[in-house]
Parts: sequence; C-alpha cells; structure tokens
Amino acid sequence: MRVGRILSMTLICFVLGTMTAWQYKSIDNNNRVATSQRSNLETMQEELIEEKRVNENLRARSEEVKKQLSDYRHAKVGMEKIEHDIKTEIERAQIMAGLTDVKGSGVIITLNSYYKLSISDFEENSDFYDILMSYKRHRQLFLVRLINQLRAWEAKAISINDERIVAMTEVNATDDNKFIINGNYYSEPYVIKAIVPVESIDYLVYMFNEMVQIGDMFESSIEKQEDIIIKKYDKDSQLLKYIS
Amino acid sequence: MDKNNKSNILLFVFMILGFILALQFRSIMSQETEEPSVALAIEALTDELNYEKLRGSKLREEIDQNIKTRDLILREIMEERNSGEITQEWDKARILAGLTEVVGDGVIITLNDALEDGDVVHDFYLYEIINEIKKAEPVAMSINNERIISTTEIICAGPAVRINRNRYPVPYEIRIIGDSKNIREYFFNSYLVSVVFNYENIRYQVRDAKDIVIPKYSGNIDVLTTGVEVLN
Repeated sequence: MRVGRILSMTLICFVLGTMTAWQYKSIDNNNRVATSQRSNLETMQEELIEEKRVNENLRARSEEVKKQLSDYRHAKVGMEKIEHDIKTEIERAQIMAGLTDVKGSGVIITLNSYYKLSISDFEENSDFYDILMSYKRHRQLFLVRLINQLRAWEAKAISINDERIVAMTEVNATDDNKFIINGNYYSEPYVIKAIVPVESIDYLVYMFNEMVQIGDMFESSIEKQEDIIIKKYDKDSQLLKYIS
Repeated sequence: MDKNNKSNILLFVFMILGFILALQFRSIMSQETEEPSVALAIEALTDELNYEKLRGSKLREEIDQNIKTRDLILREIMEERNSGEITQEWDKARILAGLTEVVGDGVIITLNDALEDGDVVHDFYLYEIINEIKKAEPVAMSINNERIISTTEIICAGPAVRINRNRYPVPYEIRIIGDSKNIREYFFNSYLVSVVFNYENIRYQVRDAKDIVIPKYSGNIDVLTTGVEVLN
C-alpha cells in the first residue's frame, strides 16, 4: 500500500514537472512570436514613413518638371531663360561627373598612419605576412568606409589629396603604405576634402570620431571650412571610350 | 504517511496546477487579444506600403518621361541655334554622371545571406566588394538596378541596405559592364570573397552576361548639386 502511494506521488510529480516544462516552453514561444511580430510591425512602419517621404519629394519634383515642360512647350519663357536652364543642366551633370572644379562649404579631414608598415619589407609566408596583409586590408577598408560615410552625410563632392572621387574611383592600399586612387599613387598625409550640406557640418564634426571608428590605425583631424575648392577629375573616362 | 501529510502534498500539487492554469489562461488571453490586432496592422501596413511603392514607381516613370521630353525640346532649341558644341558637352556630362542608361557586356554578381550558420550581407560587405570590383576598371555598375554614381552611399537600414536613398533587401544583384576576366579576377582574389564570404557562408553567384542594361540614376539631381558652385 505504502509503495503504491509513493509510486502514485512520483507519477503525479513527474506529470506536473513535464507539464510545467511544456508550459514554460509554450509561453516562451508565444512571447517570441509576439516580439518578432512587433519588431516586424515597427520595421514596416519605418519603411512606410520613409516611402512616404520619398514620394513627397518625387511629387514635388514631378510638379517642377511638368511646369518647366509646359513653359517650354508654350514658349512662356524667353531665350535667355532657356539658355540659363541649359547651362544649369550642364553644370549639374558636370558636378556629378566630377568634370568641373567646384567650391562650397564642408570639411577637411587629415589622416596620418600611426604605423608605417611596409609589406615589401617582409618575406612572403613569414609569420608577419598575414598580419601585414590584414593591416593593408583594414587601411583600405577604413578609407572606403570614410568615403561611404561622407556620402551618407550627403557629400556633393569629395577628393583625396586633390584626386576627385568619381563614380568608378577605386581605393587601393599598396604594399608600401600608400594608396592608389584613380590609378595614381598617393602617400601621407591624406587630405580629404568634402563639400557637405551646411546644416550637417557641425554635427558631422561632432560625430566624426564615432562615425569612422578610427581605432588605432590613423591619427586624424577634422576642420570645417567655408570655401573648399575641389578639383575636377581630369582623365579620359573609360565610360566615354566605351560609348564612342 | 499520516492524513496531515497527505493533505499537504495534495495542497502543494493543486497549488502548482492552479498556478499553471492561471499562466496558461493569461498566455492564451494575451495572445488572442494581441494576435489579431498585430496581424491586422501588418496586413494594413503591407497594403499601404505596396500602394506607396506603386505610387513612387509611377511618379518616377512620369518624371523620367517628362525630363526626356524636356531635354528633347532643349536639344531642338540648341540645334536651331547651331549650338552643337554645347550639346556635345551636355551629352558627355550626362553619360559620365550616370544620367543615361548604358548597355554592354560584363558580369552579374548575386550576393545572398547564408542559409543557416553564417552571416547576412552587411552594408560593409557591399561597399568593400564594390571597391574591389572598381579596381578592375569597370565602365558602369548598379546594385539592384540602382546606378552607382559619385555620391552613391551604401548604408545599413535595418534588415535592408540603403543605396541612393532607396532601401533594398537581399539578394543584391551587382551588374557590371567591363572586362569580365578582370572583374572575376579581382572578385575572387579579394580577401572578402576568398576568406570572409567562404567562412561566413555568404552565398554568391558570378556569371558573364552580354548586353547588360545598367539604368540611369533615377533620383533627384537637384539635391546632389545644391550648395555647390562651379568654378570653371
């Protein structure tokens, strides 16, 4: 009789234990599903706000172009205005293509490497070779990230050591601690000029260290300046050769 | 076992049972009240998002068409005034700025997240690989039909990546016009592909293609040029 009681109590406790475990698992699952749905909802809400903002800009742009078109069609504007508009269109395209010297407000960033490691000083497959290759990659990635971040801050024009950054500009870290940019070699100091919207400059300067995650690769400084001149890209473009 | 002990055990067992029942009831109730409202909200948002995307693409088409017509009128005016040099200058600038569609042979690379164990395609993978490909001197490039121009940013935007102010989720299709042998070489020899992508199980596919169409930049160019003064 006593053994029976103990056995039945053991069974009850076992069943209760299993039920409790299932219960917790089920609640945990429910919570996970709910959290994922909520985060999905938040992401979609953000996306919708962004989409509406983009469409609002597109609508304004559409109205502007329609007005221009109507003015030209119905000869509402004089020749002087048309010539001015053509000049503006050419200038806009030239700014984007980097075909012209430009001036504007922005920042000047100066970079100097902390270390002057040259891969050519080391033998291939030596213990240091992999470390140095990694160092080279990170130097290059640092500069690529910096340019990308400046673009995210809506930079209109960027140059490194007066070499204009255009659509197909590559940043290539060399084995001897230099960079190849647009096919030309550049050594330190690296002076990066960027024309950015006036309203962003102060915040950019404030956020600079965090933005580029400088770490211990480069010693850097940033200053804002009103009249930065960025020189044009003066090579024959591959694209133009290709088209013609 | 005396009667008192038995009662204590039963009390304990029923307490646990009661606790479990209360938890279960609460969980089901909260799920029932929350689930339909969240599901409905997601459905409504999906509809609204689709509508906005459709509206956006219609507006883009309309703007493109009107700009094309406007440029045609301006070109005719210039031709009437024998301004051939200006037309040439304009054409050159437009081509180099990425304001015209280009067609040519090259390579199409597709990047996708790892299936299980591994990483997702981050913004920094994208801008690093774009830089590696640029070393092969390509003619023009696009990611998910978004033309790479001098101001193109590639920035993380939650589960997507923002390119030219538009958000794109995976997969990322990189179209490149240029020397396919060169492009392949730089792509496969890069540390990112040969080490990182293979280690992180990032899925990639590379294929040569003929007559690749790379669309023109479709954003608002006013935003990209305001606050800049031309010097020469």
